[in-house]
Amino acid sequence: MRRLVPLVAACAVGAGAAALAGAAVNLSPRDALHLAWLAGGAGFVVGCAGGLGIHALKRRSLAANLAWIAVVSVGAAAVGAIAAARAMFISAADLRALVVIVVAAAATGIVVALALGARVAAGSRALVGAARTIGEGSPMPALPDLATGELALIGDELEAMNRNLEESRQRERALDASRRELVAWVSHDLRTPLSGIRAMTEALEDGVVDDPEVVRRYYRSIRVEADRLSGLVDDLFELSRINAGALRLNLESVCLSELVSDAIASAAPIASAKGVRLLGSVAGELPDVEVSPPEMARVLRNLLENAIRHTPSDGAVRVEAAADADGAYVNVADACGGIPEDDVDRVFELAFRGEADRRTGNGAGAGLGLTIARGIVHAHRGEISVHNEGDGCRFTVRLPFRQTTGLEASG
Amino acid sequence: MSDPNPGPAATTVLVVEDDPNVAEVLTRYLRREGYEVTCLDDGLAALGLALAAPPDLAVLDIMLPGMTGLELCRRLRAEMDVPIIMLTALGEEADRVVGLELGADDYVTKPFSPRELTARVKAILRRCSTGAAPVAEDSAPLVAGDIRVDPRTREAEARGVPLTLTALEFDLLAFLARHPREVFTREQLLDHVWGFQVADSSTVTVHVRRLRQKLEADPAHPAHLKTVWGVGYRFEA
Repeated sequence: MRRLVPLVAACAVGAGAAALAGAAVNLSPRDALHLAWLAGGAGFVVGCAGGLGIHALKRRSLAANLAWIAVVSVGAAAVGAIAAARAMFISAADLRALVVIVVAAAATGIVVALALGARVAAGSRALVGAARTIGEGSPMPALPDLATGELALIGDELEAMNRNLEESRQRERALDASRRELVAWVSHDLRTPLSGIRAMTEALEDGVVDDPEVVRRYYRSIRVEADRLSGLVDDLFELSRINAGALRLNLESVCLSELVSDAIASAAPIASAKGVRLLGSVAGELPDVEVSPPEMARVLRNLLENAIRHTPSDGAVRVEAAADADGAYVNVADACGGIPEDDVDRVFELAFRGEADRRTGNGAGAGLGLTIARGIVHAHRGEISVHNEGDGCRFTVRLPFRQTTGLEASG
Repeated sequence: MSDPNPGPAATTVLVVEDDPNVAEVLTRYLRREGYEVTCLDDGLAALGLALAAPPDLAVLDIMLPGMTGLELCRRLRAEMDVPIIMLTALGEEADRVVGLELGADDYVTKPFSPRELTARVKAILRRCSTGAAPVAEDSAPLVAGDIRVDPRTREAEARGVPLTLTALEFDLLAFLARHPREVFTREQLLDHVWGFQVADSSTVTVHVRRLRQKLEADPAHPAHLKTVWGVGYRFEA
């Protein structure tokens, strides 16, 4: 029986301890050995009874087990003492005194054991309750002061688990909300140009407008609205490709300053129509970057259009391209008046639009441009960020230098 | 072209829409019908104007600078009994009918037909201006169970308590109470109460629900305004 091994070991340790203790108080080795035998025997008998007791107390409360251990250890001392008295090591009077002391010790031991057991039980109940609330998805209650190190460890683990779960729940909620917002805004933004087209077409059809000048204006407006609509559909298509990981990048080694120059040239008409100055600069010789040119052009176009849209007429949008030890970067700085601190982290989010934009319906985008830019930049293993600076904000796109190993394009 | 009839008593329509194309077309259509049209692109300005000179009807877009069309609808409804048509570009059914819940008489989803919207404006204004006429033939108060409807004073009460009903809710209740036990489809109700067929029939559903909430002791289990499953509604005393 493997269970007897610890018991025998306990007895042996007890006997050894008795021999050492005897030597310490100047007992003769013979007496010490005798006493050790007596104590060991008493320990064995009481230990067997204790073992049976612990077996019987299986799955009972910790308090009961601790109380039983207190009884067993005091019992072992008492039986040992009685055996010693029998062997005439202790006088009858001494034995009586010893019995009183042992009984008092037993009582104290049991009370302490019960108190500790109650605290451990309370802590364990608190942990069970906390685990259950985590499982049910409700917020975890604060844990009380836990009685032992082991319980405290479990408590810490539970709290960490709860934090992780709470964070992932929050992420999920945020994602869900932004998805719903996107659907609502896409629907709104697709309907708005459509309703203009519908209304103007019907007006032409019904002859509500007949002045040739107005009729021409209506045709032009219908075309503008149709363009706006197809731009939106384009954005949605691009975004779904990015989200589905279906973005195929045909990487080429290109000169960054050329990309920037092209982007500035193509955004110039929009800027001048709004009276916004578009200033570009390139710092010295720029190394080549490995990018997919149409996609990167789109990133720059989206950033420039965003900057122009949010810059008041007579303001300026500055574009600069440069390189440092980490790679090449492009800055696009506008005069939007700064992004509210709460919104800085959200500008790249799907369908995010500043409150002012939203109310005025400023611009045609459904808030997809920056999300698309971020998706493309990430697919190039680059980084995109935004900071408030001066009277506006600055978007930065960082691209790693041309890599020697073949860069796998992934979505 | 129909006869434009401007004059001191011209019917005024307030259009609040921030899309210039839509606003212009709508204004042209309504002017062609002889209405005096004021067009604004800002919710707050529209509220000020409507409070200063209440229009005979208001057409409100939902997404507006200054104040949303929904908020504008709520504020107007609190102040006056002007018929309101909401223009909405929001996608979900729940978003569309929220205007009705706030007391609008009707809503139109963008993209919409200005021809059709004009027809609705005419129908609503006709119903409002001649509100008493179809009632005149049997203008005696209608009593049905614990409900009393007086077409002359346009007052209604349930279980002795006066009800605060919008013009449209009153007309709906009066029409149904005048034809007890008769089953009406949503389309028939649109035709008789709203005066046009073109509206989305969920307009009827929302108005019936609102009327039930005011009328019934237990709106979830209506005793008077019964649903005839798969068909429409029926009024029981």
